Amino acid sequence: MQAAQRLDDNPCRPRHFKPPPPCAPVVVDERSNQAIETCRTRLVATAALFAVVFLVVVLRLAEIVLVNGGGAESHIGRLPPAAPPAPARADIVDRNGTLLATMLPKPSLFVNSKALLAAGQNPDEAAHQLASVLADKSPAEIRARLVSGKSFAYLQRSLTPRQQYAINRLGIPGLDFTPEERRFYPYGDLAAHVVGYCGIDNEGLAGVERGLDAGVKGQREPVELSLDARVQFILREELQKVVKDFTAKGAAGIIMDVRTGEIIAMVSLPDFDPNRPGDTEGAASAADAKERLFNKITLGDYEMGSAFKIFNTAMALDAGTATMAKNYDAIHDIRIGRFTISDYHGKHRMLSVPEIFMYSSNLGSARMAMEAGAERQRTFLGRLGLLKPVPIEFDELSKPHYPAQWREVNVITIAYGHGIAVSPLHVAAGVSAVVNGGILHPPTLHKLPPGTQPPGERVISEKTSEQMRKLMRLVVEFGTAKLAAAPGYVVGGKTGTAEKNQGGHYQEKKLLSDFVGVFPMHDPRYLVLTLVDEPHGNKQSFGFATAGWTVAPATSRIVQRIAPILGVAPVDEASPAVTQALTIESLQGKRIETY
Amino acid sequence: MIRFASLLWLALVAVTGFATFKVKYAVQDIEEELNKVRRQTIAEQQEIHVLRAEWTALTQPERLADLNRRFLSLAAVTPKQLQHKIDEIPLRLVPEPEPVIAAAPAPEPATAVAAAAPVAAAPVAAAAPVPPDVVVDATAAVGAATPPSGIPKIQLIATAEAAPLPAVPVKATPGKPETRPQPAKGKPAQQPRSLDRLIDAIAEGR
Repeated sequence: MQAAQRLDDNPCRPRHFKPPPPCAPVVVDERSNQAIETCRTRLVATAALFAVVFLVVVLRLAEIVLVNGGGAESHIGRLPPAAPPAPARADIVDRNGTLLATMLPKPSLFVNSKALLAAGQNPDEAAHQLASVLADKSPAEIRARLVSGKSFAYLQRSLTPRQQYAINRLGIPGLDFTPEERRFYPYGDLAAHVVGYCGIDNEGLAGVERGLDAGVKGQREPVELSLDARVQFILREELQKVVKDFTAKGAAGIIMDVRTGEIIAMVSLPDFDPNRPGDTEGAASAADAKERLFNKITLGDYEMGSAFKIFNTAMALDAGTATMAKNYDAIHDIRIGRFTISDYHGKHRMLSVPEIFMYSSNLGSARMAMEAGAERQRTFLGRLGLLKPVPIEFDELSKPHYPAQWREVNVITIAYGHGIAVSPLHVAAGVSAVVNGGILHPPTLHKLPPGTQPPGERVISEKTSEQMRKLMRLVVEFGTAKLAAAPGYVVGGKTGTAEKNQGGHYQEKKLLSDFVGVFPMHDPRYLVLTLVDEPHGNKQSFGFATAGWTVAPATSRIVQRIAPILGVAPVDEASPAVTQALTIESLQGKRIETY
Repeated sequence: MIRFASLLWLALVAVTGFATFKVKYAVQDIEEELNKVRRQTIAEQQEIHVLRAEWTALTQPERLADLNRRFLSLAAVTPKQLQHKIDEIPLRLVPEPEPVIAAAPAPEPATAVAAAAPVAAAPVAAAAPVPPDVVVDATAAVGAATPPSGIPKIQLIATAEAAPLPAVPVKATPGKPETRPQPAKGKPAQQPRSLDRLIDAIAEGR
C-alpha cells in the first residue's frame, strides 16, 4: 500500500495507469525481448529514412534559396520559344525575302451595348467619335447600334491596324474586337498572277496560293519563290509601256534563269489587285474583270509564229538533216492543198540556214522541216515538252493544241509556228534548253539554293546548242530584232509575229508579236520572253506592229535595266572572248545583208 | 536530450516550410513575369509583322519609282558605269599640287597581286594623319582636289567621260596648304609620294 502510495505521488500519472507491483519479477522472456528489439530497429530505420528524405529536401531548398537558384537557368532552354500562333497561311516571299503575301490581323469591332450604357457613356458623343474613325458609317447608324441594348453587335468588320489604334485611343467603354485574319498582298497587282489570291475562308484560289496550297496552309515557315520583285516590276513597267504605246489588248512576259529553270519574273497584262480579285472597279465590265484574272503565260495558248523557228532549226541541226552551210530554196512558194506559203520578208534566192533564221524565212524553214520529216518533228517537240502541260507549281495550266494527225501541211506550218498553240511558258522552257547547252529543266517557281544544279534531261547536243546560240545572236546583230540589242549584254533572240486565229480564220489585222531574247548570248544566263496581244503600229514604229518594232525594243530596255540587278556584268561585245563564241564559220568572209 | 532533438527537428521543419513557401511564391512571381514578357514578346512580334507588311507596302517599286521621279531623278545604271577591271578606272583628271602622303610605303609587288583591294586600302591608310574635316569620302567622284588657297575648299571633279567606279571607293587626300601646321605624327619629308605613283607602283606589281 505504501509503495502504491509512493508511486501515486507522481501527479502526471494517468488515472487508469496501474503501476506494476514493486519489485515484480522481471520477466525475461526471450521472445518478447526479441520482438521489442525488432520494433526498435524498425523504428530507427524508418526514422533514419525520414530524416534522410527530409534532409534531402532541406538541402535542395538550401541550394535553391542560397546557391544561385539551384541551376534554374537550365530550365530556360526547355521553354518553348515565345511565338505568335501559326498564321492561317504562311507568308509568301520573293527570292530576296520581300513579302508578297502575308496574313494581317483584321479585327472586327463590336459593341456591348449594355456595358456601354451602364458605364454612363453618352451614345451621341461616342457615335460621333466613332464615325470619325469608321469613314463609311454615319453617326446615326452607329448610334442605333450603340443603344440597341444587345450585348453583341458588330460595328465594323475588317478594321485596319490604324483604325484599331484610333478606336483604342478613344477609350469608349463597351467596345471590343474579335481577332480575325485576312490575306494581304503588300505589292498589290505587281505579281498578281504568280502569287494568286485567296477566298474569304483563306483557301487558295489561283496562282501559287492555289498550286502550293498545302505548303502554305497552316504553315509557319514562309514559302520562298524564285521571283525577284524588282525584276518583276521592271518587266511589268516595260510591258505596260508597250501596251500603251501600241494600244494593245494585253501583253505578257517571263524572265527565266536558263541554267536552272527558275522563273525570275512573270507578268500578264491586264492584271488585277489580289487584295480585291474579280473586283469590277477599275475594270470596264464583268467580262473585263474576268479577263484580268487570266494568266496569259500559263493558261494562254498561242501560235507563237516565227519564234518556233528556234525549235525547227534546232531539230534539223540536231538530227543532222541540216548543217549551217546548207542552202534551201526560198525562191519558190510552196503550194499545198488550198494553202500557199510565202515569205513575209522575201529574199527570193537560195538561203543558207543562218540566213533562213536571220531573215525569218518561212519557205526555208518549211523545207528544212519537210526534209526532216513529220515523225522527227513530232518527237522533237514532244521531247522539249511542248505537247503536254508544263510541269510547274500551278494548277492553271493550258494543254497545248496540236494536230491529232501530223500531216505534211502541219509539218510545214509548225516549222514556222502555226498550227500548234502552246503557252509562252512552254516556249520559255524549250528555248532555255536550246541555249543552255541542251538540258531541259522543268520551270519552277521555287527558289533553289544558290549553286544547286536541278535535275534536267538532255534534249539536244551541246554542239547544236552552241550553233543555236550563234544563230540567235545573228538575229539581233543583223536580222529582224536589231532593236533588241543592249550594248554590253550580248542579247540574242528570235522574233515572232503571228496572225491570230479566230474561229478557224487568220485575222490579218490582229497580230500577236513575241520575242524570245537571251542574254548574254556567249554564256546564256537569262531568258526574256515578251509578247504583245493585238498591237497597233504607231509613228515611232513607222506603222509596224511586228515583234521587231514592238517587243524587241522593250526587251532591250528590260535587259539593260535588269542585268545589273541580276548580277550580269556588261562585256565588250567586240572582245575576242565574245566574238569567238559567236562567230559562224560558214558566214565568214561573206557580206551579210542586213535585214 | 530527446527534447533537444525534437526542438531541432521542429525548427528545421519550420524553416523548411517557410523556405518552401517563400521559394514557391518567388517562383510564382517569376512565372507571372515570364508570362507577361512572353505575351509582350508575342504582341511585339505581331506588331513587327504588321509593320513589316506596312513597310513592304510603302516600298512598292511603283511608289519608289514615283518618289524617285519627283525628288531624286536617279537614272538606271548604264553599262558604261559598270567597270570591273582596275585598268579601266581612270585615275586622276587634273594635275594638282602633289598631295603629301605621310606614311604607307607602296606595298611590295608580291603582296599587291590582289585585284582592287590594295588600291582602295592604300590611299585610305595614307589619309589618316590629315584632320578629319578635310578628308573627303569621294565615292562618287574619283578626282578630288584642293586649290592651294588659305581656305581648304574641297572641289570634286567628275566628268561624264571618265566613268566613275562606284564599286571601289577611293578616299582621296586633298592637298594641304603649306601655311597650316603639319600634324606631328608621320614623317612626310621622308617618302613624299603622290597617289598616282603609289597606284602606278601597285599596278606594276600586278
